[in-house]
Amino acid sequence: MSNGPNRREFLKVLGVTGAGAGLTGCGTGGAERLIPYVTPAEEIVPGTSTWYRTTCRECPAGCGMNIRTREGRAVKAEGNPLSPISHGRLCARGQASLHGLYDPDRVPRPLARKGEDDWNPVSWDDAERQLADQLQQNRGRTVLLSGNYTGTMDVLADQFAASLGIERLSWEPFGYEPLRAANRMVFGVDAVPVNDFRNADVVISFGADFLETWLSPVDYAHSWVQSHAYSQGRKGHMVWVGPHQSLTGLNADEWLPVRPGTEHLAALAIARLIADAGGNAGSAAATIANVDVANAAQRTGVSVDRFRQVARIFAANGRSLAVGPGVASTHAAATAVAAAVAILNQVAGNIGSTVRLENREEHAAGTASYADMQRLLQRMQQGEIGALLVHGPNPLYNMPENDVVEAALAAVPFIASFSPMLDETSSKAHLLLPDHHFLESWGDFVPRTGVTALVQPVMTPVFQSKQTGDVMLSVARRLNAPITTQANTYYDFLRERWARDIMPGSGIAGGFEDAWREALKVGYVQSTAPAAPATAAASTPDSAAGMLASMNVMEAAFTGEAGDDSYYLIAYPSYRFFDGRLANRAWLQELPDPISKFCWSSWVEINPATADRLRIDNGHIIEVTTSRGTMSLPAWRHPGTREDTIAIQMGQGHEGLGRYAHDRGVNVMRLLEPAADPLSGALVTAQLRATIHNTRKWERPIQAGLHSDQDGRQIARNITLEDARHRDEERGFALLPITAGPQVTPRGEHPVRAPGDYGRGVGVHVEPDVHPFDARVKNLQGSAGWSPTDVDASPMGWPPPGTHYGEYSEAQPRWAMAIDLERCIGCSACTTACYAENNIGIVGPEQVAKGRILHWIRIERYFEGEGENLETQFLPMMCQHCGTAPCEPVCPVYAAYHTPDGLNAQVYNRCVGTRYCANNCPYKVRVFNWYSYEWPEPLNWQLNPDVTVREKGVMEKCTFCVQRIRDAENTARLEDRGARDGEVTPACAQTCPGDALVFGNIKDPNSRVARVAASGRGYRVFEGINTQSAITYLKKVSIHAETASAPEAH
Amino acid sequence: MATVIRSETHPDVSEYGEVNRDVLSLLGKPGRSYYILLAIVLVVLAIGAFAWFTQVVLGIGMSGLITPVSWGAYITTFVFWVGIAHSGTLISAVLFLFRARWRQSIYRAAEAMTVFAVMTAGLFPIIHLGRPWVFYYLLPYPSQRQIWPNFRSPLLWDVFAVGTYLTVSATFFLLGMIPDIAAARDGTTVPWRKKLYTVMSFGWRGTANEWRHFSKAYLYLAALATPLVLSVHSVVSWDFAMSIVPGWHTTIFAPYFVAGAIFSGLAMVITIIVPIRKIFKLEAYFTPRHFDAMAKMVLVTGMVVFYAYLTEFFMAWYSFETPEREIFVWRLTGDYWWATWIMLTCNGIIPMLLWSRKVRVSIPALFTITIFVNIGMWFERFVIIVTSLAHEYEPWQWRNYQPSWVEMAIVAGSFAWFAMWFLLFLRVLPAVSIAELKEVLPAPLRRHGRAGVAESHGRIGPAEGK
Repeated sequence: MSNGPNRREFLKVLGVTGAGAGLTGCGTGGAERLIPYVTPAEEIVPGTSTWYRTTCRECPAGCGMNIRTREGRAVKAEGNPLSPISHGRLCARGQASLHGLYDPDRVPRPLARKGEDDWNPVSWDDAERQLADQLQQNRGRTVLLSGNYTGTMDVLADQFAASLGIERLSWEPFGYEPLRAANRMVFGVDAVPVNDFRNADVVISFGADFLETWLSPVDYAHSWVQSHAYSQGRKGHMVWVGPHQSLTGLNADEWLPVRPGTEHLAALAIARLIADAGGNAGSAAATIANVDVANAAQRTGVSVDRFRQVARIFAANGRSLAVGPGVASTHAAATAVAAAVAILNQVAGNIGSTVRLENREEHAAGTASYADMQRLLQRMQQGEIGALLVHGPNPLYNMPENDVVEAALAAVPFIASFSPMLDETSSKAHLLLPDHHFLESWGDFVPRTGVTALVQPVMTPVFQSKQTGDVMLSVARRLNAPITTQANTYYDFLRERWARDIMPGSGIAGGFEDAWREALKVGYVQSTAPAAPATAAASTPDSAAGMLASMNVMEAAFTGEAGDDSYYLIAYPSYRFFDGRLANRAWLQELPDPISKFCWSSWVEINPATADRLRIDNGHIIEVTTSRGTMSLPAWRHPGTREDTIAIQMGQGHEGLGRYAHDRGVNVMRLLEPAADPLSGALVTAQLRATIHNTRKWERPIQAGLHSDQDGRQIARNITLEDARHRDEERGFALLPITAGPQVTPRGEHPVRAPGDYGRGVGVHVEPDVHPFDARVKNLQGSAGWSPTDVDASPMGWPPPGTHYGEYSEAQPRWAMAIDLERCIGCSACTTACYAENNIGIVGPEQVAKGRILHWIRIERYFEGEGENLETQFLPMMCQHCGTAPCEPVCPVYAAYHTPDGLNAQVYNRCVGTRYCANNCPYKVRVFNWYSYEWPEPLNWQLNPDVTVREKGVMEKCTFCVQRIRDAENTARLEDRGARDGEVTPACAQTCPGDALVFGNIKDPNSRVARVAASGRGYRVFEGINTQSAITYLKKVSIHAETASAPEAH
Repeated sequence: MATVIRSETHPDVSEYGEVNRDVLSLLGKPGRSYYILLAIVLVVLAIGAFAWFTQVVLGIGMSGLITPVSWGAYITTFVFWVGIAHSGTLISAVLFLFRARWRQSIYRAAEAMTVFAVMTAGLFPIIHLGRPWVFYYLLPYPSQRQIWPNFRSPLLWDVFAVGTYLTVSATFFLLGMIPDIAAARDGTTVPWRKKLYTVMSFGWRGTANEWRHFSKAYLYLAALATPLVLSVHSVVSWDFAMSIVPGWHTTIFAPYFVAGAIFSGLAMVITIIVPIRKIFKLEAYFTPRHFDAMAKMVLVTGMVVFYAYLTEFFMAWYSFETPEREIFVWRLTGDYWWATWIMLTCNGIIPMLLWSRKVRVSIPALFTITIFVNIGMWFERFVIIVTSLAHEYEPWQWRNYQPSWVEMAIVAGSFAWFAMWFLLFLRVLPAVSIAELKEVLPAPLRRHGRAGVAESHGRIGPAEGK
């Protein structure tokens, strides 16, 4: 034997060096502090996830969140199923909060201005000293401009401000001032009452986009779907009133395309019709009596018959709800809209049932209005403000007339910004004191009266940021300010306040520590004390009385030239970027907008008829001109826009914020006049007419999905309520009587099962719903002597009888999914969740424009019909995991293969990139890594360690989150049992606010997916190709659907 | 006065010595224009190679390929070159078996074209891979992990079909050249040529026994190669026909592709021979009679191809399948209408001129027509591949494709690659078969024999003629 190292020793050394290399590989930035492997952190077990409950702070809704961490890093955000706000769901913004945490453009440490765009790094000690000095000098001349603080932060800010002579102003760009003003006038509450969508069968929205951004969108979307989606034979009804359909509008069953600025007239007309039919108008009787329905019809452009129809449905029972206005319908008469909506609710008897005054959406309460901000700017310009502390708002971006805002900011000698991002406003600051991201912070938030949600850090801070609460306490101590607390840190302050104020009312027994631990585990506490009832206004203010008297004739003025080439300009909030604050999230930029499917850019929405007239096609560069200037942006033909209206989304066109947001699209605020609603102080967004000019230049639109017409191929299908009931009756499902919506005549008698029994669907043979062409083909085939292919619409039929394919999997589960198109609102949260879970590459605008976006699940949005009959169908499309997958046999190297449990798997290491599988996939769900896509540090910290990061030249697609399946199976095996139904939930299904996606083992007839898939509305896309797909879609029930011909005898 | 006997096919060639002199003169020192041409070709090839290099380093995203259109210019050009490769085997093997007497002067060039075209075509399946560095996963090598390729995949059949075709056609090409190389060997004084020819001629001495074995071997190889004319392009067509893509999934594809291949291959032979004939002054060997015969075959196969087009349209209409019908309407009227109409014009309408004998024997007219056919056949593959993928089942994913500069450079580079081999071939190997030509020439008159008697149809070539 030689004396040199033998093989075994060599391998040992290799192993140790390998492990060492792995450890040092994590050592970027603060990573050493994240994983102190030398003395293992208590909660960090390598390879095991640790979950933390916290509260989403990406928008003011305050959804409960679960954050999954691995090796000390947050890797996935999910909804907290216990939260009354999120119901275990998140929207795309919540999913993308991790991109806020790991944003590579965050302000990494405190910075002091050195010159134009030049900053000096300073220590926190120095920074706080500078701040303290300035506060000392400017005592009484300092303003703290913050976003909407609720809970403990509000208390601390009050103490901080009071003790140092600081004036406080909280401002949210979406402050819903008209709602609050109207509620002040009508109910005497300066707040927004809670809207109970769950118990509203009929919803009329006057421009309130409650599925996207309005107040509490996840809660509303979840609740609205419960009451609206077809279930047990009945279905809710939604009417959208407004000139432009946002995502919420696209989900409406009916669209009343009223002229811009006339929503209140429509609301009053409907209220009047209900009152005439015996509705109780109460105190609003006088107002309603003045309403002339015919006149309203003429001014809104909607026929009296339609009003009558809507009024009949709305008043049919006590389960209706009217909401509005939203940000986009805030015109000069917006307060009148809000008041008219309140009156409509009152007439229909909804107050106290679906509109609950004892609870309030807290985050909209008590904030300053846009008019207050204007006054602040004036004072700044006059030199009355010596120091401005900004935490949250970005007025330089979110307010019109940015030259005035800029001048006002320039007039302030000292501006300190706590923003973690270098946004437009903080780039004018003199001192940057970056706050933690909320996932690194302690805190609490009150989304709704009675609910106090906890915010807790889920990992050690990524950058050298410091929580603003801590900075306030520290600065107050430096200045010996007389604050009442003994706490040295915000964490202590929070616990102090919870021990004092929150826990006693929460009904949690035991000592504080136990209660605290319990609250952290649950994520929030619910106050058991009855909320203070809304007090009636002591006296109606004159302005209110005047408005209530005259609102039936009030008309919102639009300024700007009225002419052939002038259009009402609607600026509406972005589902993805909210008011623009989230524009630097790469996931959100790359997410196709739910409405237009544009990514990374802005666009102007133009009605197709108007566009035809002006010879505008998608992608033509249009110049939009208002009194404030001109902007060029690509056109998109949106059939959900009135012919005399154009719409531009807010949120893009940043001059700062970071690499993903900078210089993308346009900021529509720059086109608006700084007009405030005199009654509420809100910024009037619908105020101008704009002229448009087609430059005839064309640029390839950065758009996913260029064709909104499904070309009669019946991909997203719909069905009438009558047919849906009929089919379910045939299958023996229990049906409830119809209570709302269009009337239905039942077709004969059918056996009815007990309520709650979905039925098994087993043994029920129903002729599949076939395309007329398919039927012909079948006949042709039959006549030619071939045996017709018997296609069972339900995946129960898998594997098809007589086939050998898949027989080896008899003992295995068959993973499958059911997707209820009734419950899909098109919000695309699933897409972002999928990006987060599966390490999907971000390809950037040029590649998206080419069609190389990598989303594994996409929401197809098809339009049918036009004008008032416009029908929008959303369809989530991902790998169908076909039983007889066309992609599998064509792969020359077995990279695409079938697992025994029915998954269509893709072996990345084996893939050579012939792309034949993608060609042969009829659903076109396979996406290819044309390049290697990279995640700039520290965005790569988010990557899910359970999922391979793919390199260039490799095909990929939806895996049904196979890592979750295997994880659940392994857990089950350790416990010596099979995986239970519901144990595996892919990321898309997990986050879906409408619960449209149901996943499970369809071979188990008791599984939820099997029961849902057995619905009479079930079908599979491109069934005629006989792919035996694992995904059953459930047809959307639509008033625009055509009644199927009488079922053939079989 | 002695009667001079003329060959039926080569009336201007009078004696064996002339053949040797003319053909071997090509192997002399090339002129300046040759080097200029070669330099241009090498520059284009270098650009193509650079383009491929960037694609390998950065990713196949450098091409214009996108999500619905995963195959584009590369596969189009692959099928194009495989099609070109068909004529060589057809002319040398099939026509040999059928004893077509006009093949002798052209078959060598056609065979060379075949081999080089397959060598060009064979690059594209590798170029188009996302990860070309693992192309060997497609080969059934005994991996220690016992992973085999998927024998159900048409792409794997392609590997075998193209591999077999390259092997057989190269063997056929090199074998058939042995007597001529021996002639070149004996004629040259350049040392490297001498060495090369010595190796390649396998010690050929021209004995009767050698001739007997050679003829038999040639005959058997011709018989072996003939089925490949049908099989290779059938297999290539199955790359498409075996899928479920509307516009691809058609049973007519195999015969349709074979006819198209012969069509394009013959056209390419004419396109190449016309300039060679002119430049090297070989008018005596490539006579209008040859062109007439080839033009007739171009016409026949062209009509088969055009018939296949019409059948496709009819079947699409008859199928009652929406996607199938729409793709054919879209081809004619959609965004790629120009490509479809180029295809129909170049392959269907222009070749109809060949009905006229005047056109068939007019070299300039024929040259122009074959250029159109070459263009048309490239676009045929482009139309089949790109339009079908761009407009498939799922309207949401309809999207058009545009080739990028990288693809264009690589496609141009492939032509340069082919031209490079062909230029080298012209100067290194005898481009016209000396031995077989002599078969169709009148035998030299014996000084003391009976005057006027020629053995013009002797089976065994007179080796002593050299």
